Amino acid sequence: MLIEPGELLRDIHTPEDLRKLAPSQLYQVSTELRQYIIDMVSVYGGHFGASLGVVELTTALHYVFNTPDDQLVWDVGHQAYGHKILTGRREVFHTNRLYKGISGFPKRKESEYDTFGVGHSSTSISAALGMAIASKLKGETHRQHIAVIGDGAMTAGLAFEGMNHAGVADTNLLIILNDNCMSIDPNVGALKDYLTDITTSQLYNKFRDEVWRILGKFNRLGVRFQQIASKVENAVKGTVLKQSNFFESLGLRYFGPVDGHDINHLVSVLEDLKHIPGPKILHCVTVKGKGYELAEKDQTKWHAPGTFDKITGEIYKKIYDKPQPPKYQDVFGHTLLELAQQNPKIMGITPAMPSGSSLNIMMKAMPDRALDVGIAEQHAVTVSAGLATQGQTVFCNIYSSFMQRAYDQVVHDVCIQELPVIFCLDRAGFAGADGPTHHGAYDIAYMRCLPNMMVFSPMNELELRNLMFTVSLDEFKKYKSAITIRYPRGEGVIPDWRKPFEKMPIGKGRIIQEGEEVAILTIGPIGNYAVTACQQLAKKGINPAHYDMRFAKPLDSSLLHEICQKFDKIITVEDGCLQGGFGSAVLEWIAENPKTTIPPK
Amino acid sequence: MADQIYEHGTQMELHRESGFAPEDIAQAVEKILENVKVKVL
Ligand SMILES: Cc1ncc(C[n+]2csc(CCOP(=O)(O)OP(=O)(O)O)c2C)c(N)n1
Repeated sequence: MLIEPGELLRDIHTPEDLRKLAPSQLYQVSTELRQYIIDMVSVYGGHFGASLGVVELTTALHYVFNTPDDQLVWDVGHQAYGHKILTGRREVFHTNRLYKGISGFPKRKESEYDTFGVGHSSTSISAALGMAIASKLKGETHRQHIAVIGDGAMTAGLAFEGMNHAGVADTNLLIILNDNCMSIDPNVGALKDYLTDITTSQLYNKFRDEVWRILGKFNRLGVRFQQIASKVENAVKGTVLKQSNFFESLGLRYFGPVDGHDINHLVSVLEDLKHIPGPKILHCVTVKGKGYELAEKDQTKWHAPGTFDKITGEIYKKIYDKPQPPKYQDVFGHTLLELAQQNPKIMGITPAMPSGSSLNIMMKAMPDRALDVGIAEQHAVTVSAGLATQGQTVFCNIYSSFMQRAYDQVVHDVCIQELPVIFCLDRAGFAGADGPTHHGAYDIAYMRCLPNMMVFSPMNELELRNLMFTVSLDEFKKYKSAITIRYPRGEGVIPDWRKPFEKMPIGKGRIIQEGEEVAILTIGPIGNYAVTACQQLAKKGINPAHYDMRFAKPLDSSLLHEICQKFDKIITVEDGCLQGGFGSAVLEWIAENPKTTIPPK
Repeated sequence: MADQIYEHGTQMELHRESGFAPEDIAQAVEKILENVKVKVL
């Protein structure tokens, strides 16, 4: 399908082309850019609302700053579609997120305008600060470094660590806080309330506009005048806010809030800020989904809606004539609620993924016992640990790749303290279109090496459900061990999955198919591929045995003895990294048990 | 998955690329039976 850009956008191949336009044309550029994003995402899918919300900001940033010499760092990067389109990738944008196509996130390999690879949140301030410090050391004082970070991403510890350093580092760093009050789900926490307070304080905003007017004049008069203006501005801000501004107290000069959809105002504000040295933050208020009514209204649904009819807003869904298996995340969500209804000790924790993990099902029914703690994986793990010290049965649900950020908390706050926290790692294995930042490739390896940690993966929905039930029982606490339950993105294999709970033996695998000569050992849903493989092989008269080992730790030693006595050829299959994974665990076991086995080929 | 960065695509495309789609598993079984050293991915 041919999607034509508007008449100005058509001739913008790099930001250089954009910068040749008159300021009065920027409104049209933004309108065309927004339309192009709507046209493309409706047909090819991808993230939607976030990019629509920063159309004006994207245009203004590339207009005012000399990218790529000035370094623009996007946080998370799911909002960078406009940036990609303006920086030479419009013509390949139809390959966005497709195999071998362009990435859905900024990627250093893809373009010199993508200064930093992203996907996980809250890295932008630290990365841009690193670049700014390097520029300073090299004497490149003309270069600007801009981090664009959302109010959701701002809730993570890493963002605070970056600001804490930036406030004393004296570099040309501009942080743009893109405040739309939304994470994927509504943003949570005290910072959100604080930002709303500033945004809605009429008195403050009146003074701010006046200060801005004066500051603009002073900026054009030179450094000494700027210093005076700065003093006036700080005094006014301090008085009006009746307390010191949070960002100012970290040493960042705070500007805003400004309307992030007023392109001309944005351009003039950014021009002014370009001339103010040192670390500063511009608070922009935007609307996620701006310009597409349905996306403005239901921002969570339109975060990444899939393909849709842009006229009617109908999101295309496959229609099936028979019941389909559920998504693993929904099995988690519904099962947890069922268990929590029977067991008052159960709690659920998610760092900013209520919809993505389906913990929202329990949050709706039991708001006191299922908590969204913001984009704060480290905190999610430690708060779970704290709850566990008090005897709560905590299901802490984190995407496998996001858990990487909370590794020390898993070791220090959970395993060393022998706390039986239940980690449910969603999106384990290949995540798909989100790409390498989101693949849950390493969890078996990074969890398996920890004392007081078990690692399980269900082959299907019933296994997930039953294991959740098993570990929710008080008797699981006797192991003094945490457990990782990893499962992938997407659907399982059993449409009729709501069966009565059954207790599962801890650390025990099972046989799926008896066979000869070769044994296939699998862990997790990838075992279903082995089932298909066995069916294909059966047609050729080959009948390997298939075992679903369920646990990467503890390994089912007695089953392994049995397997190794019967077979001298073993194949292991897992949706995870080779080094340190389940296959490595089996190899280690074989190395430790040489008498029972013939080395596998 | 081998010791490399896998980019984006559908889960099945990536499973194929990394060598553990159903056909790959079947092929690995056949090769191991022929005593061909299977390159585990
Ligand atoms: C470390 C980490 N945790 C969770 C996510 C999942 N995630 C992607 S976007 C997003 C919301 C970001 O909100 P915000 O920064 O306000 O940006 P907006 O979408 O509102 O533009 C979340 C939670 C992530 N990318 N990285």
